[in-house]
Order: sequence, then structure tokens, then C-alpha cells
Amino acid sequence: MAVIKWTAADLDAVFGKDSIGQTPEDRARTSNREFVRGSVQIAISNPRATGRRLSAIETLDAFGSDILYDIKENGFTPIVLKAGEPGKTISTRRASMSLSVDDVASRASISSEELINFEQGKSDLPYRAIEKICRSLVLDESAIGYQSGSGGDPQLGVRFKEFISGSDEISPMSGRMLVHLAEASWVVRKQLALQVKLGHSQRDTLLKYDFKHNSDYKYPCYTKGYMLAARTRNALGLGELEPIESLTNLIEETLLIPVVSSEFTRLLAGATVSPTDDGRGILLNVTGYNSNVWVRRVTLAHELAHLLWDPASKLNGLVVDEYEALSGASTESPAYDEVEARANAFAAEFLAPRKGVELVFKKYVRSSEGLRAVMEYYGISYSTARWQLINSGLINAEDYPSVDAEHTEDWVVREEATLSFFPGISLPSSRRGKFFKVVMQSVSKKLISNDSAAFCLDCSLEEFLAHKDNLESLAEITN
Amino acid sequence: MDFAVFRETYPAREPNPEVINNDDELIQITDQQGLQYFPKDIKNIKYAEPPKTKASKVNTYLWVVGKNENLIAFEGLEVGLQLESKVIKHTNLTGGELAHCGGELWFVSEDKIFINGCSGRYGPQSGKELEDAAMAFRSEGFKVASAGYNDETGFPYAVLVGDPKWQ
Repeated sequence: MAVIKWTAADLDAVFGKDSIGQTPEDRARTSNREFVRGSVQIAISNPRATGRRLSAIETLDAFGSDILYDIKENGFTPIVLKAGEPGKTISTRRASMSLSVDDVASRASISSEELINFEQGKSDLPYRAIEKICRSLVLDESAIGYQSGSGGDPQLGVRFKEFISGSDEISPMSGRMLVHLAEASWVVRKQLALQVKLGHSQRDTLLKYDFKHNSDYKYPCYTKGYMLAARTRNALGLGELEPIESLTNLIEETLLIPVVSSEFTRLLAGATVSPTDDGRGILLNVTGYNSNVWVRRVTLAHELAHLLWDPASKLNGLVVDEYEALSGASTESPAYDEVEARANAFAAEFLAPRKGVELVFKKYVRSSEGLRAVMEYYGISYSTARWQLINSGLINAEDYPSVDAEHTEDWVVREEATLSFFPGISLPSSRRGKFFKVVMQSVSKKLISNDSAAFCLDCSLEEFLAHKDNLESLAEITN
Repeated sequence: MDFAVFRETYPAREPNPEVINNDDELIQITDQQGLQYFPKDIKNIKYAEPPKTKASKVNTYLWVVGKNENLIAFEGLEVGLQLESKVIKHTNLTGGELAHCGGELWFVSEDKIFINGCSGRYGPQSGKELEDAAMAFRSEGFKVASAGYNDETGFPYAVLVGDPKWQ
């Protein structure tokens, strides 16, 4: 394909005369112009258009300069490169995940018939419905129609299919539950992509700390979990004994790992997902046992073990952990699983190193008081504290000291202080925390438009604009 | 609606100056060079299926509802190669004069044509205007399908989306 030579007039026509620079990239960065996309074409934004408004950088990133060059001719241009798109990509992906038409259509607020006709190329759908469908199928909504497959990870699709029927590891899930899990995975994907655009790559960060996947699960693999926990603490500059004040903060801010909290099925504790080459993320249930912040910290640490150390062959795009697996995998029960056992040992030792546990425990005469002190000092659950004591030879495996398992409020504040309260605007829990901050930073740098930010945060544009100043201040954006 | 009523309903306007790239785009092509008049004696018709992607646009004609005539020309006319833009534009059909509307057209069979409103210079300004243009083409005895108007981008659809609706 011939290389297009942009003239100054071309650049003016596409990016506006107030933009500066000699290349489309320079012009996009300085352009105040917005573009608008529909299901099959994009245009320079205009008052008639009802589609998704995109910033100039966002448009250039999504479609490249050749497509933008075509806009100068008529003010708009088609983006579909293959007949049948974007319906074909949606249809193929939905089938690969074994999701029903009803499950997907209802999330996009369209009828099943509309979705079927769209998938078969018989009719069009508004882009705003299509992007919701992309969210349910963990696809890149910005590439839909333009890029066949739309960046959908095939392995992840297969994993979702397994979960519909129930795999060896977990109970069968309903389509509705799976869509919920898929949408949370989309949030991970989006956060990773925006972080890269902001210059914060998870992949580079993890390499900097020398975290490389480790395939050693040799029996007894809990010893491997302990070893990896010590390595992780050391790499992160954590002392041998000190408690981790905010695990959420450490995971999200230091390691750039998205943590998406949501109310999943009560059986599910957490999951580690790899939706894209940009990295991995953690899905965290905030209901069930995880409503206790100490249990939640253990779940998070368990998922961190999967994320940092499990090779792709073990992760298979997605590892889903039920509460039962987290509490039982370190035993030699029939449910023993080496991957889960290693992650359980990692979680315990990462949060509460045995050496420190011993020091705290020995300050008390009664084992129940010592156990509770360990829980309070390290912010860990009853079962994790008990296992660390057993593995340190401080109590017997038959001992179940009677202890209040309820967490203390100071740990709630440490783990939840980051952007969990949004006065005046209702954001789903999956869009709060670091994801929210990354979205606001992306808007402030014009990497995405206000309209796209509202979509990311799952609120209306009107709501977003009405609260934008407040949201910027919460995200500590200074203009 | 026939073309006379269409002209009354949608007054002639100047081509959009923002998309005129060079003076060659305002040169009037002649009948000898390939300017034709719809529906009279259209010669050497090249047929094509309605395009579903930009790449599948072949045998494209340009149409313009001019002040007095309905102008059409094969987009791939040789005369286009002599112009600075290397291809004819809608203003080459009018010489840059006022016109009522414009777009692209494909002859699908002897009695079927597919149109869109893809003209940066004279494109329809609403879905209704494009539909009325399609009706005017129908009034000349053709079955016509229109690509339609895309409210999402505020411009006509450039290619066929879904199944064509022949009327």
C-alpha cells in the first residue's frame, strides 16, 4: 500500500487549523476536534451526529492515519474492511463463549431478534449497543467493525465456554453470571490498555521487579509458595516481618495490576484474568466471605500469586477460584490442586511471614489470644492465621481456637480508602478505585473523550459532565 | 416525488468550499469526455453489486441533481487521470456550479440502481433528502435502493449495511 503524504492542508482539514505539527500524530495530540463513530463509519463530529464522540488521539489510535486521511474528502468515511462486519465478529465470539443471544442482547438493551439480524448482516445496530455487546464479550469496542476479531483473546473465549458447563475446577455458571464475569474482564482489559497509553505498562513494571513465571509445582508445592512469597516481598522492598498496610494499593499502584471489585456469585472468591497481551488483572468478589476485609486480602494475595507466578499454560486465560478452593487446597484432600496449593501458601506467607507470626503469637499465653493478635497485626483471616501457626509448629492441626473472626475497621479504611466514595454520582463498584483514576487521567490528556469516559464508567454523558470537576478532584487531576 | 419536485423542495446550493482541493476540481467535463444525463440514453453501462465495503466499490458512478439536468458520470473516466486529483469529483459534473444534491450510484441490473449520498460537495443534508432523491430516481422507472442516512455520524451511509431494500 502506498504511503500517504499528508500536506498541511490535509492536516488542517482533518485535525483543524488550530492543531500544530507536521504529522497526524502531532496534530492529533494538539487537536481540539472530536470525531464521531457509528457502527460502520466515522466522521468529523457535528451537531447532527448521535454516535460515540471520540478524541482525535483516540480516533487515530483506533483507526490509523490512512482511514483518517479519507475523512478529508467527504467529512466521513466507512471503516468496515470486510463484508458482514461487525456482526460476524460478534456472532463468532458469542458462539465461542457459548453465550446465548438472550444473555448478550439483554445487556445491550436490545431484542434477541435485533441481535440475530445484526449478527447475520441483515441489519445494523447503533454503535452504543454494539459497544455494550463488546463489553459482554471482552472485545475491544474501539476496533469492532474495523478489525476482524476485535482483539478477542481466543483462549479466554474457550475458558468461558468451559465455565458454562462446569469444569473440573468450578461449579457450572449461568450465562448471566458469565456475562458479569466477562464485563469485569473487559474493565481489566480497558484499564491495561489505558495504562499503556498513559505510559504505564504492567508488563514492563513486572519485568523491572524481575517477576518471571515459575513452573515449579513439585511436591510439597506449599514450600514453593513460601519461597515465591519471600522473593516477592524482597523484590518489593517489604521487610521480612512488616504487615502490608494496603494490599490493594500495592497491587494497583505499584504493580499496575487492575483489581476489579464486583458482586459476583456467592461461591466465587476471585479470579485472575489475562484478557490481552497488555497484562493480567484480578477480579474480586466483594460479597460472601470476602465481605470480611481480612478474607478479601487473602483472596487478593492468592490471585496475586497466580498473576505473578503462574505460567500462561496454567492460567489458560482465566483462573476462577471458589471460596472452597481457597480454604481447602493447602490440605492433602482429594481436591488438592498444586496450582491452588502454591497460591494459598504464597498468600499466607506474603501477608503474614511465619517468622513474624511466631513473634506476635508468642507474646500471648492463650492460643486464642495469640491467634487473634496475628489476625489483627497482619490483617488476615482466621483460617490463614491458623494455617500459618500450624505450619510454624505453634499449634496442632487438630486445634481450632475459639476466636472472633470479625475484621477491625482500621483494615477496612486501609484497603478501601482509595476512591470508593463518589458523592452525587452512582458508579458501579467495578468502575471505582484505580480504574476510575486511570479513566480520568486519560480524559485529562485527551486520550479519550468525555463520551468514552462516561461509557467506561458506565454512566451517562450528562451525569459525567455534571460531576466532572468533582471527579477530577477525586482523581487528583490538576488542570 | 419526481426530479422537478425534488428541485423545488431542495434548492440548489454552492458546493462545499471546504472540500475543494484544487482548481481542476471545478473544470466542467464534456459529453465527449463522458458526462451523461439520467435517464436518457446512458451508454456503456458498467454493472456492479451494491458495495458492502469501501474496497468493494467498483464501477461507481457519480450522480448530481443539477439545476436543469440529472448528471451522471462513470467515476473511472480517463479524463480524471489528467486532473490534479487523478479522479473526477462531483464538481467536475457541474463545473463547480450550484446543484441540488449528489452522491454515488451503481447500476445493479437494467432496471435496478443503488445510490448513496456520498458527496462531500453536494451530499444530502438529511435522511429525508436522500430518501426523496431515491424517490425521484424511482420516478424514472427504476427499482431503487438507497444506502440510507447514518444518524450516528450525521452523514449518509457510504456503503450498504444489511440487505438492500428495493422499491
